[in-house]
Amino acid sequence: MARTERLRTALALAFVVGSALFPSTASRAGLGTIFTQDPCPSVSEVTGAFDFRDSFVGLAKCEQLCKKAAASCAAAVKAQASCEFAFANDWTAFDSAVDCDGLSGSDKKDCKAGWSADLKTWRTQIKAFRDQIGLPTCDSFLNNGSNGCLRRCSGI
Amino acid sequence: MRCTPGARLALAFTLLCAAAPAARADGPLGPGAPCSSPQDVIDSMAFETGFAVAKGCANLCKKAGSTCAKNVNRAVSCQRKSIDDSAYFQTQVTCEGEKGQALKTCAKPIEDQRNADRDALDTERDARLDDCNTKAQACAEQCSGTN
Repeated sequence: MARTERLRTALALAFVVGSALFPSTASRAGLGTIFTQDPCPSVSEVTGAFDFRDSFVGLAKCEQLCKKAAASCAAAVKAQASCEFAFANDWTAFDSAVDCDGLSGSDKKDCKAGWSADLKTWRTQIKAFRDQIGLPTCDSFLNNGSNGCLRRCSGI
Repeated sequence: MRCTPGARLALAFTLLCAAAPAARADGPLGPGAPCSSPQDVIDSMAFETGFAVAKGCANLCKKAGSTCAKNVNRAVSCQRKSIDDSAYFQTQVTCEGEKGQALKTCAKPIEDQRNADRDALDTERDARLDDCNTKAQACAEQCSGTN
């Protein structure tokens, strides 16, 4: 099976059965890494904490506050992604150091290259969460035509 | 047997998705908090048993300690921003239309709470950075003979 296909299959399996098979605290020794769980908040936790759609209804500066809250929401989503990027980098650096230890020559090169490819895939996923879920949610809180913050300001 | 990097990455994603969110205080404008707590960071890291490598174990422990501190400081920065955002929006909503002394009087309890929260966060940061050092030291002690 090609490496990319193997990874995709592994990821799909992980998503489907992950909750059942792996508790939130796995053994580090089995992973060869310093992390047992993600140290960052999730995208939904961040956007949930910035659900400002009904926060300013009836205030004179409603629209201004909506826009300010949207900016804070977007900044928090970007900070969450930065946290995830750092987590991915650190996870990969430590795990690859252990995994590739003792190898030499082309074996070591292949081992490192495999980790680099995985990191690239991981970073793509993080960007997708940020750009396709997190930031659009902040924008929807502001601009949604039926229940967005600006719409609420107009008394509807 | 070595795991393939792909399998390890899948496991990392699984941990990312399966991790249960810890109980957290309310956020600036909605339920939940946009940040992990410094304690969440400590709980997410376990390197005190050392690293199974032939060479460079002590160096990895040192780097792991720095990584731990970096993540604690990141969580603290996030929480500080959240505290400030909460105070700002609460003042804007609670004290709307107030000016001069009336505004100061209205905003004072919010500012006092913000300052208390920031002080408590600073204390929490120091304690969790100590935890990182403790983990790094324990890690290094496991490296004896492998340097």
